Amino acid sequence: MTTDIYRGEKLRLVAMNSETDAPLMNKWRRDSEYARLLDSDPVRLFNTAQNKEWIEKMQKAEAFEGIELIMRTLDEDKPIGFVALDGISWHNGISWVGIGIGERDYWSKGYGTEAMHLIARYAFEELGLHRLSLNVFSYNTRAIRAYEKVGFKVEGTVREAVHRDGKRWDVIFMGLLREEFSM
Amino acid sequence: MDKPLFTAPHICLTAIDAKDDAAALATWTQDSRYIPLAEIGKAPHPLSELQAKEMLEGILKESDEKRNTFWFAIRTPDEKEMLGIIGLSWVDWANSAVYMDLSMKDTAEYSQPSTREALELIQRYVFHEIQMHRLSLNVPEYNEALIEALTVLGFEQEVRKRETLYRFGRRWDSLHFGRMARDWEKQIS
Repeated sequence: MTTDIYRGEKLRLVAMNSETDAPLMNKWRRDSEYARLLDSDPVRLFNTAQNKEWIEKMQKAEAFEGIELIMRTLDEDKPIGFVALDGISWHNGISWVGIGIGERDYWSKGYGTEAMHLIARYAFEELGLHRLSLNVFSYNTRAIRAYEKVGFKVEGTVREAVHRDGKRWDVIFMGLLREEFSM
Repeated sequence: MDKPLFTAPHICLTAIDAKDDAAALATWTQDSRYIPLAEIGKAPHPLSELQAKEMLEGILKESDEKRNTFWFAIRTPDEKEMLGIIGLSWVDWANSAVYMDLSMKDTAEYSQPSTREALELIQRYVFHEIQMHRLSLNVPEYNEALIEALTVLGFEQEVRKRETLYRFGRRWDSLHFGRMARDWEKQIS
């Protein structure tokens, strides 16, 4: 009760603001290296109005099946990326988790690890979930290392599931159980 | 000569008709051991005929609108009885990867030739009709008969998602099976 679980040592997680975050997501996505790491769908560009509508639709949804939060640095209060729970299944006690750091200057500095730790703590301590799942492209070794630091374990490899730049890449599946996570 | 895509010795695949097939689906769900399509994602519960019809209408509507799902009814050759539902719940066109989903009318049916033949037909459809590179299927670890059928057909377990499912009073793993086009080609040639 005495700890603000939305806050870590380097950053905090805040609700998305459809006015200010919509243009930011637009800007981040134009970095195609960033956008292609988010998922295996062909990268698309959305305008600010589309992003705004997407955020508002999600925030108005009646069923709580997911949440997207913005990562803000504690020292400058700068929005640098997002972290999300997606496809929460309450009867199974599970959710998917996703993350993206749109500001390249903040890559490989521990922000991703801390944001994953914060969203996992929220999922387990506040939502009472039992398990988090994610998948990651085999070439994204930076992300895999961060997920392992949070406690995620590799559960298998889906072979050649992504086709990009004329090559096929594996997708690694990872899972984290509540009892394996140290708050 | 062309191999038929929709007929096998013990079954045929046909379109689903939400109105005509709702009663059968509703009946299946009155047994708590029934294993629904994973695609639905909701907690299992008995469906009324109206709910079953709406569920089927929902997957058919999505199929029409998004063009990345395909659903078939598995029926006896005389088409008098529906034995199960099989489909592609996500065709990832950009990556030539596809997820399939299968729900037979009761647990005993997974050990029958109907299940094996439906899995054979769907592989032909996936690899020779829509030219996919790989095929995925998630199976709850308690569906042992289906796991046996997949293993015999040459599917390989790629991922064990630990404690992903809660059913029958405990947690279960979900197994992700995969099949590569090249392995299927080798087997049928």
